[in-house]
Amino acid sequence: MAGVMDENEITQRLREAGNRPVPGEVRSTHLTRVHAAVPTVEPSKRFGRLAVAAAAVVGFTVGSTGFAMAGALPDPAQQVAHDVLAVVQIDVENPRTRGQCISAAARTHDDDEVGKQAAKDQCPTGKPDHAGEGKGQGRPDHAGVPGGPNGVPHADDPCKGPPPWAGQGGNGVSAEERQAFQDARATCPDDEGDPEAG
Amino acid sequence: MEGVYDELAPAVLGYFRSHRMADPEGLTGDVFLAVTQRLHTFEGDAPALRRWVFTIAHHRRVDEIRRATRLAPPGPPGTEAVEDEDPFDPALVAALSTLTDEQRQVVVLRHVADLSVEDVAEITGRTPGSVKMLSARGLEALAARLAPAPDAPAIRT
Repeated sequence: MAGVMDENEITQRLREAGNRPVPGEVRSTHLTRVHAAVPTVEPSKRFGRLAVAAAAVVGFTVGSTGFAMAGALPDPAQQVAHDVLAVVQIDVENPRTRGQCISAAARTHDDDEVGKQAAKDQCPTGKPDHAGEGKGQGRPDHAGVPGGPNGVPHADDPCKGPPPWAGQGGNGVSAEERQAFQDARATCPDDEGDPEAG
Repeated sequence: MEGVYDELAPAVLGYFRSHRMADPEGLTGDVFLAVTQRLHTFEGDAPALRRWVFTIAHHRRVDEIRRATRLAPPGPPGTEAVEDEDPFDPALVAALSTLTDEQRQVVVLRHVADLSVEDVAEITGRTPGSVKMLSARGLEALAARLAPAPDAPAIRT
């Protein structure tokens, strides 16, 4: 009885067809061609576009986070940074609250530059307990809320902190006290950028 | 790169020979040239590498067939000029040439290239079920063609 070519024999022959070694001279020719074609890549490309993009994102994030934490970004960018970084629980200034506060300070002390600056210095930030650098934050330990529940910090130092009437609409402070404070404040050195000593 | 070549070149060469391509060695060289140029973009394990290389080989074969068709009058399927003088299982190659192109594609990728059903499906753009069916029918046809005696039963699975 004649033999039968079963499926296993067929697949075995097919597999052998894929395992026959490449002739030596053919192999040499192929590898010569391959070596000649190895692209000369710049160091940055060695790591692939994804790695370079990832490094750029990381670098941008680190750099912009630093600026954001110092409140050094323009308000629109600062707002974006605040919203984005809040997701990963990194506190940076929230310009909404700060912006509103500064606007209010400017309106309240429209013709009182000393008071205006003092009020601005007390505008709230999104970063409690941090003595931020730059911009003369003047942030007290209670997160810099003007007229906070624990009274006005630096009440004995007219060169630091808000004026006594800050956040109170001027209530509880006589005109003489106000003038005295302003006179004292006028003699203070320029404290722009001077971090709050705490 | 040499490691990749030594691991996969025999199967790639067998792939082109099984399809009776005119210049299987040249086409194999083309495949590994392309692999070298794009290897920095590849990410994956050994099975993924094998699938990727045979995807390149499959596309190269299709391109070569189209090029040959444009340059020469069309002839019966499986009669592309075979200049390979290596006695590479001529009976098997002749039997493969009698399959439909779809059956041959699947059978060669499954068994010569040693790819899984899923890999073959991805390369050929078919479903795994279709690959299994084409493979089964192709093997049946090969068994019938390669049976040693003319009156032997053609199918035993």
